[in-house]
Amino acid sequence: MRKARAIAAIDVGGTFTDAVLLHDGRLHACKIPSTPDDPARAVAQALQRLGSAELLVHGTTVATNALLERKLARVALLTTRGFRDVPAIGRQNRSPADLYALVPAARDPLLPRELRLEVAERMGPDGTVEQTLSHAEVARAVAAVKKLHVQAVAVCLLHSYANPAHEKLLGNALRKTGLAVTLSCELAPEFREYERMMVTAANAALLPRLRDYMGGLQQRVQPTRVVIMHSAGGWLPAELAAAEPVRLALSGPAGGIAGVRNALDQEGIETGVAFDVGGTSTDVALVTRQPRLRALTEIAGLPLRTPSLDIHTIGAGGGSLAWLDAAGALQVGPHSAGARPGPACYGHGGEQPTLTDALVVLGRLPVSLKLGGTLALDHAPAERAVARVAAGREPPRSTATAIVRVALAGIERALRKVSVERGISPINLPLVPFGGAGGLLACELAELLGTGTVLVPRHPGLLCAVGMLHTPASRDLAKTLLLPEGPEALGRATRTAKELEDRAVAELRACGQAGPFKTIAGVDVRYAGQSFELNVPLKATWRRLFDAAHKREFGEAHAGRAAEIVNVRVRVTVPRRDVAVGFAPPKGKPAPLEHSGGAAVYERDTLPAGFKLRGPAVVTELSSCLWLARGWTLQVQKSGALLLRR
Amino acid sequence: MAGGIAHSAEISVFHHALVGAAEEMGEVLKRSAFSPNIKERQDYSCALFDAQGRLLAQAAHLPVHLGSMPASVRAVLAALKLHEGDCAVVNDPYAGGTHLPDLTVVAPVFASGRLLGYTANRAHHADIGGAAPGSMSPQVDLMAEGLVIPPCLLRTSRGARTQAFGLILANTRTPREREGDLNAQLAACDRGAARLLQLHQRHGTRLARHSDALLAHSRKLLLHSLHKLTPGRFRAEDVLEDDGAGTRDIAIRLVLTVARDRLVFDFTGSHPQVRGGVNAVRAVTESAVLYSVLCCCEPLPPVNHGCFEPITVIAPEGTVVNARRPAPVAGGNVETSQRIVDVCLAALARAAGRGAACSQGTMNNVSLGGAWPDGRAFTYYETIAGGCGAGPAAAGASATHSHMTNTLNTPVEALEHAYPLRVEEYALIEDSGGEGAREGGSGVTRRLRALVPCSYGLLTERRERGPAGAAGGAAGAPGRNLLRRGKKTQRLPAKCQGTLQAGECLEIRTPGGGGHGKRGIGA
Repeated sequence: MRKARAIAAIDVGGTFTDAVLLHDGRLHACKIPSTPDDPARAVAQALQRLGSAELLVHGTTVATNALLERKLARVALLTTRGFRDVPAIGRQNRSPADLYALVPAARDPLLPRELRLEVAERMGPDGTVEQTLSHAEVARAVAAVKKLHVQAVAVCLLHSYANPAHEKLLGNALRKTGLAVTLSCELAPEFREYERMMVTAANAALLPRLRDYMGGLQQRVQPTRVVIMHSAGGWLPAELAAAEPVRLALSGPAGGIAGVRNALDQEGIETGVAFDVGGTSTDVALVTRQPRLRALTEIAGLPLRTPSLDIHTIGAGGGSLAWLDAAGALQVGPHSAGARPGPACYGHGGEQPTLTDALVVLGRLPVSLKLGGTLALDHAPAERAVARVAAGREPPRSTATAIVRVALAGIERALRKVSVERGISPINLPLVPFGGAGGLLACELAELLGTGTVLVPRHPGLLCAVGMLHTPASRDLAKTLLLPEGPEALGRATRTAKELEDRAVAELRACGQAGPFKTIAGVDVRYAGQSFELNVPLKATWRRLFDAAHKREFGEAHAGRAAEIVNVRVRVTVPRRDVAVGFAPPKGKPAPLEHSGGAAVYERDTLPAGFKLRGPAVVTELSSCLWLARGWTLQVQKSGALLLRR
Repeated sequence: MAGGIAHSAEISVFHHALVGAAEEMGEVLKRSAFSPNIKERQDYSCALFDAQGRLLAQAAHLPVHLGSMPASVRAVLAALKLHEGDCAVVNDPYAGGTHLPDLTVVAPVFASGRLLGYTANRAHHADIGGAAPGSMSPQVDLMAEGLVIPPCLLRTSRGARTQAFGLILANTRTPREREGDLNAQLAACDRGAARLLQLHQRHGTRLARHSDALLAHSRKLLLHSLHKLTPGRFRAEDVLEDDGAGTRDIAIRLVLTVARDRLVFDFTGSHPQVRGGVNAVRAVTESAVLYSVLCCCEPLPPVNHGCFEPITVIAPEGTVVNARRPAPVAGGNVETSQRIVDVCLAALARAAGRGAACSQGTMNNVSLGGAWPDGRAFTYYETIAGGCGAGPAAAGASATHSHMTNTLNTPVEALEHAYPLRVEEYALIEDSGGEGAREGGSGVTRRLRALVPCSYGLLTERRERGPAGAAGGAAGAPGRNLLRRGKKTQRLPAKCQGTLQAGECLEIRTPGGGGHGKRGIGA
């Protein structure tokens, strides 16, 4: 019984598994508890509840959690003689958090020294063979690996981006033995050896687990075809994703950005700031028409050189603990109440005050609300916990207000820093809150940033899943060239782009994608002597485009200075036919459900298009809640989104 | 709880606002700077001051900049009368600077004609003239180290560049890069000023009161940690092995007095200033002292003037910890500062009853210069990490920069692309960490082969005696500098200059960290 053209999207989070199904323009949604011991079980359950689908776009935390918890396969690393300690040396700095630590934490090399092997060979920076890799040496290396009883092998030789021949020799020999192998020249042929070595090792260490997971999931949901959301904001067929699991580290959050993009598109807005407040952290991202990608992401203390959406995570969320420091200043975070016991208002025995408890005390989270449709909030423990901060000497409301102020000041500081880092001003950009608590802080944060607009998309509590419905298949490949500017540069870069495009198309075809394929090619460029690249379109005018980009980003161009093409980047997508999600506005005049903390509480599903509301007010819906502050007005848009203005 | 919960919140909110402003300055500086030294190695700091010149907030990536900027602001204010829009620059080690490559820019901030405060930032410039490229090689003469810039205007209130700007550019080997970096420093000051004005608009006349509360809070947090120390006098002493110009065993002597609300660091008895460039100026010594105190603080107080108040530094003029003009100082910042930290931490450990073993105690400064076959000149400067000392609860980190620095390495693949050099080996030195219940971190071997003739300069320490262990742990292995010519290996002094022929190798082996606790006695 196959329903035609139904698409499902399921995002697995730490607490909940969010699922949506789009069929004939109608959206069906459900939220069920996750099953961390076997995440695929909740996925199958959710899909069963929603009905069958042709395609399932899946956001998974399996790779991320394996990295965070270091539940990784036993892996060997093969590298050039003299360099097996590169993972242990890293970039030789201590973490900024340890700047004043008497004993800074030791770096995690991901794999111990006895699993890091060297081979006699050497490439020069231009790809010239300076020491040949002999057959005898290959045989010796393979034999040495066999003795280690590893589940997978990572191979990363110096300058392999310039000449992959030696890596491929080793790869062929190792694959013949049946071992799972990741070659750096295939996964991430980009220069800077430490980062490339780490991404190659991390990928190899994830291979066995992700292969099992994908295989098991595909079996369970037959005949639905599973595709996986990747960090760069597209999906990959499950087979490809399983071979490059390191690309899945931001699988879920990438869906959220796609959801924000879709919401902005519906209102005809070019750029917005995505704002997702979770339990222990807050994600922010600038969302522009073309996805903003970065080449390097840090996950679980590991630098991963894999294209990812530029999402910045701040270590403060609803579960952040409020406390007075030894000199009497109020602090919120960095410690968190975690999922269990969680905030005091969850009633799981948590006694320490959190940001969420402060929001409950202020009435922004009405006690009638059930988080995720199931978890009821308890007011009394929240009030007790909040009162404890000031040792009972202050009314809980004053303390709650103070906690929210400090939390917002921290988020504002981080958001401003990220904005400056990326050369943008957040002023006048609409803030797009989603996730459980984004809507509870959005108005005040907008005021602090000098922004007068907040756009609340539909289904903010399921936005990651909703966004995945709108995502195309995409394959993102890159290669380092380090080409000095000159008559040959454009030709070589174009040839490399074509090679990458051909590879991406072939891989997508092999997984059943018929096309048509759309390619975007770019180059990372810098002035000779710089160590910092900017991405511009690969065109004959790349040099002028780079000068203009440099001026735009950094305020100055150096037209007389030689430039070099560092990397070529290609993104091949299979554009999607538009998947319109209908909005059937409810009829009748909505009435407040109740009053909470002096504000009227409305249920979002009862608000018709065009409906207007003045703050203070609370709007609740499945798994999310909005606080409309005093001085703000809300209007329900035709799309169903809420537009807030000051 | 004076002022109640609202006041408690205000301190944090204001702290976030000010530190956020300093961080924003840093991002502007990093983004608009040109040189890798600032953009990638992050050798810069930004700070905000109030109208009295008290430090309000600082964003520092390297502790060596910590707390030495107030001296720059004081020196600028003593020498110049600043008007709205003016920006001053200084690098004179004897008038607000530290060592010559560090250029500090200072600008006043006015709101409707009234002085609100100052913004300042410091960045390490890759060349500021002098005898050798990079301005960091061992010299016996301040003039040979580079251009000395007393406080002078870099930009006037009308927004125009001054003649000093041109003078600086005319005295460096890389004027265009310097121009880009100096412009970035001006832009960072402007950003800091804009944010301070915004805070003035938000908080109005309460700004001064909030500032006082913030400083008082930091002071209180610092004292909270100091009160855990045993009152009394604690001695510590260590030596710099040499100055590269004939003086050996240059002692740094300290008597730390822990009183109820005060710490006095008295360096009386330290070695007189020396001929070679390892002299530290007072600001560097103060930075090292403050860094050491902060290492003993739990929780870490926000860094501002409030942290300086309980600390007194006595450093007799004319000694290696407070040199007099015109002693050369390039290594004071990078090497002597590390030894001052070792001495301070040793004394503080006695007062605290626990501490960590010594870390490598050097930055292993390596400068290389020469010409490509086509005649293009190149200069390259790097510092190399080593072993960190173990502590009462953990082993020492391997191959990690310690104490006053934290700069990144240059990736091998980037280095070989940019310079006619090959890295033959980059590895941990096994067993170089001191033995103990918890072992010291390992040092690093880095072997560079020259493909063309090169000149080199080394500024290193701990080449004879390794970093000491603590609580019965053994010392880490000392470092070594080697010159490899074919099969022949020659040992090089800790501080030296020389030339490499094509094919010859410079091998730097950095010290391991000291161990902690007697081996075999559990953690």
